[in-house]
Amino acid sequence: MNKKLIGVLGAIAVLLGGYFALSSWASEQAVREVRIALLESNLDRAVRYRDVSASLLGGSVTLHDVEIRDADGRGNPVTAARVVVSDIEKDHDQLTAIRLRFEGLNISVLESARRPDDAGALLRLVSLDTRYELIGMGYSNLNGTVEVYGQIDPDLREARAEIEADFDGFQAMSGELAMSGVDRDVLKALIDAQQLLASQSIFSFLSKGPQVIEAASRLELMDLQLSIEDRGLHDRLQTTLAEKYLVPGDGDQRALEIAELAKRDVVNELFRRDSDPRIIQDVAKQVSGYVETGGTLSLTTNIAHPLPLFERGGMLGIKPAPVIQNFERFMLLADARLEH
Amino acid sequence: MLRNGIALALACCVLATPVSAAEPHRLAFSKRLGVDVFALPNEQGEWCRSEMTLSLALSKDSPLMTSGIESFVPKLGPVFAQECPKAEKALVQAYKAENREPTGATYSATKTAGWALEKVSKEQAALPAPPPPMPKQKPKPKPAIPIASLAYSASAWNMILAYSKTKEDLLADENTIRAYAGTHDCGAFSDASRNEFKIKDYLTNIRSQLKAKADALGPYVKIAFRSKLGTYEPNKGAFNFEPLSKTISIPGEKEHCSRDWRQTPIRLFTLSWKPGNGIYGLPLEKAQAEAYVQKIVDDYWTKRAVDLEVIAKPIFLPMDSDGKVHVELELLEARAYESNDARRHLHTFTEAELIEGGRAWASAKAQAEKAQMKAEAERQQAEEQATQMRQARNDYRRLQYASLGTKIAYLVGNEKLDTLTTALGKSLAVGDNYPATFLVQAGKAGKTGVEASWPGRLTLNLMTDVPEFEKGKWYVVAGIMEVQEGNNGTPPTGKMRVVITKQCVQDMCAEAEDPITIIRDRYPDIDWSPEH
Repeated sequence: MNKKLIGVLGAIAVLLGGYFALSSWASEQAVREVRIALLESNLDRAVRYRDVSASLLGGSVTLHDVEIRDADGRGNPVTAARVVVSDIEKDHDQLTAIRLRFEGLNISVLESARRPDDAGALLRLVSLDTRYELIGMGYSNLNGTVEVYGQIDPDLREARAEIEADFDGFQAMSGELAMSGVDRDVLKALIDAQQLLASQSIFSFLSKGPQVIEAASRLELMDLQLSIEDRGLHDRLQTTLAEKYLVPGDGDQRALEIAELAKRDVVNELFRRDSDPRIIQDVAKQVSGYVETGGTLSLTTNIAHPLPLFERGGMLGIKPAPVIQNFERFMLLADARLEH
Repeated sequence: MLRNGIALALACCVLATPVSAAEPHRLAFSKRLGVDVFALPNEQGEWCRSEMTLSLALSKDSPLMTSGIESFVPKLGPVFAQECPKAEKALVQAYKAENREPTGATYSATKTAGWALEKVSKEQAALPAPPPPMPKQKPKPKPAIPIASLAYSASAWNMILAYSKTKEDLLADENTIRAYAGTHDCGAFSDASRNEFKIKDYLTNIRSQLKAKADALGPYVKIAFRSKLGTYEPNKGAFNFEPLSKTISIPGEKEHCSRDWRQTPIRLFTLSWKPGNGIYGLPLEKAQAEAYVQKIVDDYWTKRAVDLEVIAKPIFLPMDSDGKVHVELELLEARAYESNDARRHLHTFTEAELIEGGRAWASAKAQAEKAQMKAEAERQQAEEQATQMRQARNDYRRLQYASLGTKIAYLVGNEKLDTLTTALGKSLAVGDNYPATFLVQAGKAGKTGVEASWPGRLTLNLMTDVPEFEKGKWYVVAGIMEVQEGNNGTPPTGKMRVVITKQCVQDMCAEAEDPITIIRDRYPDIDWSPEH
């Protein structure tokens, strides 16, 4: 009996020891891998973290206390308590799939407005006035979770991306994107394109420009699904729109009036772009419905044949295809619908 | 008549002085009428009595010799009333001043009859008024030195030398001496300036000469200049003439042989006329005036102008930093000559004419200044109105298709209306003291701590002396924001130091919808409409 017990305990001890040893080895391995991956993708200055751990059972690597800045390491950081990297797939040592989950994410809108020049690439996408508006609505800091999954199939030359984001008291968002004409060469060319734009060098453009143009001209949109869901923004947006449209009172009546005014603005804007009246009315109705009651607003597409995103021509040798330039074309060609 | 009155009144003032008991009292006189009026004293030496005895001494060319004294004596009524209020009756007799012979009948006059003369009978005239005393020989005044002989010509160097009397260091300045030598002693100065052994003595000598010249200058300056002549006014018996209104300048040196002449510390004399004497109009007999105008018309070289020669006392003011010396001129004498012909004398202004001219000129100047100020005010007003018209037109172009918010902001003179949310966000980002303009509804009455029931999240504090907020009323407010961050992600709130308010007439300031109304409100002084 004692021998059996000792045997079992010994086995458990060996297993536990082995597990911890393996975990320790895996974590060390993960630290190396992460460092190499960041160096290879030229993100070593953009991403900083306190430490890295690996989960043998979960098959994941976790980066703790992460700060994400621009590629050159400058800018106000977006911070995350943890970034969990999982679902990694490789083909001939090349990464073909990865899932990143940013937990405890914090985006400081206030800091980006205080130092607009150091706002960071993500917040520079949002105009300064919009950032002031977000701060005024009480969104000085956006906290939440974001999960991104990306996959590439080298044989089919297709890529797929998914995103799920949920910000406390603000907004949730989900989206799916599928594109064809994507392979490693295209991805490399796209990275080169980013460097081309950053360098603004005519020599770089002459040496790498043709590949970039060639790669971009092969990109086609296969699928796009987007959805936003209210988590608290709606109420505060109502107040802001009431100030903007000078609507007194509160409650449903005010929401209805604001929705009508928002609808009028959407109609005017689309009308200015010579859009189809049926599309104008439908889009304006869905947007005003979201403005009035909140809830969910989603964009779905049903693309029968992949849609080219760029076409040759223009000063740079390539220009956005009509499907990107023209809202009406996009809605028609992608068989897109906006639903509230 | 007025002149008579003035003369008589002056006489009264002059003659109301004590006289000795036995002497007749000179009650009044008139130079123009050539008459002296004496009141004769009684034995006690009293000339002012209820019954006065008057003797009128008439000069040989007195018009009263022919016209008689009947119409003259009643005019003395005010003099009697002032000088001798108790006079009720007078016995009057006129005499020739030259031989003291009576000129006509003896008259009596009474106050009740307005001092109208009535011949008295021979019996009554038994005691006629005795003839007036012979005028006393006045001591001959010492012959006055003519002012003109004490005046120097107004040349640049004469003025500099005259100024040196009040500014002693002027002649001590070597530049002054060199400047003079460079214009007046070319050859010698040129030689001396190239000989370092002689130049010092040379300059000392010139300085002595200048000092002597300065000492020899009289106290007055003689200035000759030409001035335009206006039209002849027959009523005034004078041409319109304002020579002192134009700027006159001192002629500079025309010749010089060295650049040193530029070194004089005085660059320029500016002249102005001291208030007092002046010239305003050129008195001339009509016939003479007509002849002169005809000459102007006939003779090409004779301009419609007059050459003036004036003598004035200069008052030098201290030199300014630019080397300018201002001189105030006190006008003493003036003579007018035909233009281009100094031999043809037109008029010499008398002292009285200069005094009267000064008064008239000052009055005309004051009126002209008043008219100019009025015209300037009218021009400014017209300019202001034109500016407002332009602004109103531009405002209308801007507001015609503007949002209601922009129109509401226009009510308080601002470009746009802020939204509270954006203003709070910006305040948090860029710091306090952010200026903003809002539409608000007062949540309560008061001046401070007034919460805005719309749009909410805002407390108002009036900083200026304007009427307090009324509960429920809508206002456009402009001022400085202070922000308080919300707790746990709640929206921030604001406080505003309000410096401008405008109470709306309608809810939400709906009256601002009509741009024409709000533009007219802003420019109440102009009659603007969109068609302008």
